[in-house]
Amino acid sequence: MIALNAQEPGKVYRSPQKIMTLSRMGSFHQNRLSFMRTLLRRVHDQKWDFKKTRFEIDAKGVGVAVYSAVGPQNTYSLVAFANDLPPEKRSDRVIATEWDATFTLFDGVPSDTDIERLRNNVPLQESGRVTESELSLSRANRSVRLWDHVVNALAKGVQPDTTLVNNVGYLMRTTAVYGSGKFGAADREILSDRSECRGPFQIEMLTVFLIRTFVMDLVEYIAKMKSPKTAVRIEPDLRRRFGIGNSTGLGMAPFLMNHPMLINNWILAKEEALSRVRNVEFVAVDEIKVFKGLLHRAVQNVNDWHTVHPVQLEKLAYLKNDLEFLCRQVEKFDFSDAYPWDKLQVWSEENLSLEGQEQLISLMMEPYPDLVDGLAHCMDANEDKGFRIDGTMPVFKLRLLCEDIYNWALKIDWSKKGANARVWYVSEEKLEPRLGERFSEDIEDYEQPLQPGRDVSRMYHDLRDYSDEQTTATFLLAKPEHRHIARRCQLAAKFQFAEIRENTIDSKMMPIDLLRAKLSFFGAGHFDPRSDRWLRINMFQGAPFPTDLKEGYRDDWAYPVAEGH
Amino acid sequence: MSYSLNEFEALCKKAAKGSGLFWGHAEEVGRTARLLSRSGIDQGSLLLVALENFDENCALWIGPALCDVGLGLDLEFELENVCAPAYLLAFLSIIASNNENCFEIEWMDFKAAISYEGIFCNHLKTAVINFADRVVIRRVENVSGALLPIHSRAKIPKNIIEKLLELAGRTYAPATEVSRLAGAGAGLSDND
Repeated sequence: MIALNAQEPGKVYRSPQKIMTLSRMGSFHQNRLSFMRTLLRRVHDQKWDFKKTRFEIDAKGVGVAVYSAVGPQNTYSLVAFANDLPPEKRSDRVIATEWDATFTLFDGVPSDTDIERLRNNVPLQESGRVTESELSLSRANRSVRLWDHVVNALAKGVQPDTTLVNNVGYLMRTTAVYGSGKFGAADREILSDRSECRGPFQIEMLTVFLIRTFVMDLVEYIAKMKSPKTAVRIEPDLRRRFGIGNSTGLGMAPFLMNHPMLINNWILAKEEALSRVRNVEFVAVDEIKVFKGLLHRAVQNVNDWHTVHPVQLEKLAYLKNDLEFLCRQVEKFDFSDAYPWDKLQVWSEENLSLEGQEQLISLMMEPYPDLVDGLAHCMDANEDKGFRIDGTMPVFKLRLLCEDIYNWALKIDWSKKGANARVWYVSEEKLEPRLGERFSEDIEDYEQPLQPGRDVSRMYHDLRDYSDEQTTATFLLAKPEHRHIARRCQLAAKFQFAEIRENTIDSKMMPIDLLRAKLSFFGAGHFDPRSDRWLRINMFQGAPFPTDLKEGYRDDWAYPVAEGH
Repeated sequence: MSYSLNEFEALCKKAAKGSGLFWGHAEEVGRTARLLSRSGIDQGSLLLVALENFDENCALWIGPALCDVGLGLDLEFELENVCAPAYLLAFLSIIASNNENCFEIEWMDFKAAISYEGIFCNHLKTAVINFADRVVIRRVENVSGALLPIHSRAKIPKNIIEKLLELAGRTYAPATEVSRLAGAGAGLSDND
């Protein structure tokens, strides 16, 4: 039945107060705008060619391989150095010094001279140097659980155990994928005139996509070296179930706070997509079919999602219930009503947990490539635009911005130890970001500016000594310690989703929420926290391999095929 | 040695903080050091002079204040006894790229113009001086001179990098076992 005078939702975004909380950001799911999916749509649409141009690996798995991705204008080559790492040296931590494999993405096709230069630097990772010809630097360790099993099975001529493959999900996991300018690599800005590099993290996603191909070739090669007469290759359907794992720690958390304009653009693109879908007045049968099909696959995704972390286990239980509830609701839902997606989303906010609400939003985008996919072009940022402080702003207006954007922070009693418990700092050991305890460690002198709530409160307190019409410039000349937060406050006023609306140094803060928010935009799944401050994920699980892309591309690989379908 | 501009900016920001500046000023030091390096004007040596002489006569102090009032600049004004005046080029570039105004700046026999397109200058011979008795800045309608080419890398001498690294190192907390285990949140076996 069609509702008369149904209200058009209009171009309304969910409020930043609702979205930019740690608990909701820690419940984000991959969607059509995720960077892995953007990459694969592009390489398929532009008919990129992929070539294995070098594979000089010995029977122990030591050597070098090169995989080239040839786009319409540019070629990018993964240079992979494989190693035979003793088990005692295998560590996911940033303090590790050796890995099972190390990688760089080379701009073009490397010469023999390039390979020799890279051989002396890439395996050293942070201790080596790369150049403007290199676009990323990365490393990975084998999953011991799965690697030996797969090698032995293939060598014997049998397929690996499907359950084990699904439970682990990857043969290697990366422990860092450094991009833009790190350790001497090319700055992102240098590549900004190339359309394939303009979207966020496209270089890093291409690196991981090629690493996945290399790892599958490597495991089959080692099995063949072990038993040349009996070894078999992995069957194509099972092969796709292998992703690339990733261990991500605190290094990723400051990124979200240090790039407020970029984060705004990511969230804004997602909210615009949601708004467009909510404004679809009448839904076609095919669109409902796509949604329902992927909803059932999302249920399977939860069943395949393994973790032992108590917080994630609880969230998964909620998500499982949410999806069952949603399935029942969808079966009886009247999709012929006007603006059905809007109604379903409103229903979800009253009936589902944050995990379920965010999963539904991702699913609602799926039937609408024409409405959603173009927004991927709006997700980069010219961060120079938010840099200059407007010193002409009267103090009363700066005060109002604090009250509007940071009202939550102004309500916090910062003299309480719990509110002020943590310190973000950089350790001199490998220069990695860490999170310490303010009142039990000697680290406060090294505090990084990653607590906007507290810093705004301090600025707001000092602003009381200035009259309404005095300028921000006058205030900052006398109080330069507030420059960084005045800049941030003005930027957050222009970009509504730039700021996290919660205390990032609270004793109960969970850094993994920040990590998941970013990783969901990458397109990662199966978030598996290992503590409150690092987690493992799976990337490209279910995705086609380069050779598969020639046979067509279905942009639904991020959802596993449901059992019995 | 060749550094990416992102690396150089991050290092200069930390060095500024390590030398005692507040974070806001340190952010501006990183941004302007990057701008001067890519324009081929300073590869860190003048920055070290400026950080050692950071007071109200230093371009690293004057520049942010000019940026703050960017739109309200007088048509022409003079500054006296300015340390590291070349850094004013970078701050004027930030203003110009925001409001599309054009500026001229001069000291001794050095003269340059700045627009949103970049820095225009016929020779850089006296661009890098530690102190200038008198600096004149004026807003102009058009710019003249040769647009300085943009470099994609920072070529920083070893002795400068070492000094910047030493200053930046003051922002790093010494490693402890507590920090290694609790701070980074590991301690589980990864050999699985």
